[in-house]
Amino acid sequence: MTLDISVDVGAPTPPYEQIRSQIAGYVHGGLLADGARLPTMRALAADLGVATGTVARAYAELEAAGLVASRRRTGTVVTAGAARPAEDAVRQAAAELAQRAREGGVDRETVLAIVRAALLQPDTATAAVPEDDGRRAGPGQVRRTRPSPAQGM
Amino acid sequence: MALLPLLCALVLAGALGAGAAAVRRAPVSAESTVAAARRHARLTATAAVVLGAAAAVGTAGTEAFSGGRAGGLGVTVLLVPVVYGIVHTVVLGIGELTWPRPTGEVRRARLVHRGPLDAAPAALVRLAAGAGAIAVLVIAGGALLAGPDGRSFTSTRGSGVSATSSTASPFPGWFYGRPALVGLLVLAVLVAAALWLVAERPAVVTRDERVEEALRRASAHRVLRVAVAALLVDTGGLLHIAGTAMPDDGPLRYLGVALGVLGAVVVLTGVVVGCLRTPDVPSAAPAVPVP
Repeated sequence: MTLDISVDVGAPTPPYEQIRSQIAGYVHGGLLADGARLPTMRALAADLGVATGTVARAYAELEAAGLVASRRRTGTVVTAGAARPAEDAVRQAAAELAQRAREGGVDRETVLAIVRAALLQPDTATAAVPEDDGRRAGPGQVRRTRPSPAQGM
Repeated sequence: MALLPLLCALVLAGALGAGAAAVRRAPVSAESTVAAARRHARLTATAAVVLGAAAAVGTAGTEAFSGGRAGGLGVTVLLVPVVYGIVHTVVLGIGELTWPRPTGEVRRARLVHRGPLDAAPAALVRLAAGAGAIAVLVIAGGALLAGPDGRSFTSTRGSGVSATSSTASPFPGWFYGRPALVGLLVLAVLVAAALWLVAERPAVVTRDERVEEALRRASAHRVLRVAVAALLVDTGGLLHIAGTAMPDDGPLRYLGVALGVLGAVVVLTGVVVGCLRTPDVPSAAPAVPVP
């Protein structure tokens, strides 16, 4: 699958940040595998019509984040980085969600809207405050949450 | 003075390239981008052929590399295809440098790595490698077998007092091999640079990926085609001359015939390669599908 990068030079976000965030998203999303070669800075800059330094800064920030590595012979390649089991689990759940949506005939926009709505819901795992003895809720149990005084301020 | 036609053609190519870079306009849509790219490629290819031919004719007409020496005319003839190849490649390189750039607020690019040989036709790359190896062997062999003057071949038959020797010239010794080697090395460096420019130049914005790939493949094809043709013509010429320098009798006669025929075939192959048609570029898909 061919991945695209788009840059809006009129947007308030600097072009290097747009490039960085899109590539980082592809790496985190598993669309760019470990070892995948990125275009040369000059080629990507030429394709996007931006200065080579813009792409160089995006690559440098990606390298600083451990997402890519510059190698003399192969150029800039994606690195696996540290293992992220939580992200892997979310990725697997997303794949299952996409599969179910396809099977159920739910269109893409609806799926994205459902995911966005789910992300906007309160975080029940971390925002929950024990009311009584601090026992953690087990699987399948519903815990009542109450905003803490700090949250309400 | 020897390099005057070559320099004139290169200066003219540089001026045309600077002019093209100065007046190029921004395409307004994907379709006009493709059209502009096709037009640019066509103009560049035409300029490369015209300027290359002018430099080659100028080199041949002025006997630029003869220098009044014996055998100098042979060197000039040997370098005419190389001069054509050098000017042709430089003009194509300038064309890649002045390729239409993306414009507009939102730009898009594919996140793919492009190497210098990715777009080059594999058959031409293999042919270039093979012909280069043969050229090096012919030049090295000629340098080892030639007489002290570097352009004659002496064969001896018999032994003792009955030994007879015959000397034939021209023969592709170091006298011819050195300028050919230098010229072909310059051409090889320029071809590598031009292929790098082809890989690095801006992509053409189009919904149809085949158009962008075909445009890049056509550019690489133009670069390699003429360079390989020049290489084959020179190598074939050296082989043929080596064949004609072999004695007319004895076992070397057959070697001479074989080298002569092989050289002619290689030259002919070079001419055919130089006339190969550039791969077709498919038409860009319309922006709005026609019902």
